[in-house]
Amino acid sequence: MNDAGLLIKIKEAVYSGNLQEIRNIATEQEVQLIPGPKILEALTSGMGMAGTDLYKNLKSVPEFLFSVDTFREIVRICNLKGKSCGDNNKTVLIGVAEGEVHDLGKNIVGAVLEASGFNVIDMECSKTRDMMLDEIGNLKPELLALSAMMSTCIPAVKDTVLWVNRMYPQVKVIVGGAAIDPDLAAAVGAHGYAENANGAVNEANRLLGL
Amino acid sequence: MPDNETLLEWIRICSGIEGKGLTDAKIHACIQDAASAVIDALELKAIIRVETIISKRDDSICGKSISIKSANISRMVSLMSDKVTMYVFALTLGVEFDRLLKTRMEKSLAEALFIDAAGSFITEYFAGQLENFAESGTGKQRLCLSDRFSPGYCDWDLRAGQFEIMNFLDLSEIGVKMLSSSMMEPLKTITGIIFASDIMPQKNPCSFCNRKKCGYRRY
Repeated sequence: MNDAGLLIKIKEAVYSGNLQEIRNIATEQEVQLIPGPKILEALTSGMGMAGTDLYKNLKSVPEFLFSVDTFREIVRICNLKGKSCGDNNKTVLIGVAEGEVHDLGKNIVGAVLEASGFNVIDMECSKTRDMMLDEIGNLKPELLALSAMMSTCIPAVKDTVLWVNRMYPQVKVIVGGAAIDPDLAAAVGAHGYAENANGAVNEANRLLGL
Repeated sequence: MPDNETLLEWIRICSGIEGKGLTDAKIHACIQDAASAVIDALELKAIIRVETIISKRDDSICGKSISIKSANISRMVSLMSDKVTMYVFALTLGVEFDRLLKTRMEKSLAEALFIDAAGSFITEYFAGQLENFAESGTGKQRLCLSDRFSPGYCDWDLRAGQFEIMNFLDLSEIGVKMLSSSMMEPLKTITGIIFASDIMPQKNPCSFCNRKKCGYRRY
């Protein structure tokens, strides 16, 4: 099969969330010869279609996540993580508020942002405000994405956003999670708010002018 | 344990595929696998302690060793008879569930979503079983039970409520610890209270409240 045919198969496998199909494709020798950016372009295109279906309620969240899983699998197999994703090469630092232990939502948002062409760096849990500020200083992301599931973490979100705005005014901040709504996001000083993973992509694009 | 069909249905609803993808064999197999994995990982533990309410104020109610600071819950309790008892409980699915969720998150976010939904449902299911236990504990008196309330409900402050319960129950007995953020580990842990009295005009304080669109409103 030629490159164009393989790229179409990759795009379709990601769109339909067919993990087995992507594993089969990834083991084909021809795929190893296709430049990484070309594969990422096909992956991003498949994810874009899946995201549109989710937005239009044609795909459920789990079906969409199967697409994300498929995307992650070929990125892992073909060692594409951190490679150029076409014209979007923005870095997003993502984490949960200090004291927060729930990170499933954060991981989903991170995976979807990555599948949408962002370079995502995950801070994992248990990061204090100062550790996050250090990470921003070192990694120089364009965007910080922060989530909180429980209301007890809101003071930590507010404190972190306050210091990010003071020390790194060029960094845009989006917040989300069960404990946060658009009014609260504005009140803590965040530049944007996302209700879900798809919303996070739209908000990141808006804030970064993409 | 909840029956298998109820559990699978709940996972479908919680993960957002109600009415969609029901015939998709891949999704069904994945949900079934998640349910089985969660059941295998269960290390269910619970602790329940009974306290007699000795004072009712406008903004709080007090037992000998625990107080609940909530004007709305106080108002509900003030309508009960003089003798009110309170069941204070904590329940956890255990650390193995956390490990399972973490492992699945690395492998598949879809599977992790199903695992998380199954864990939430099973936690709620067993909290419901504790209500049954409390009901049986009222013995021949056949007292009325209130709804179940967890810290953070209505005007009961989450952080203050968690600390009260942590100080009242020995959570280490069931392997639960509270973090400085007042969140608990393991992840699927629930704490709460249930009131018992022979007179109970209101089972919850929602009728005193004007927030008609509150997501936690009970009717």
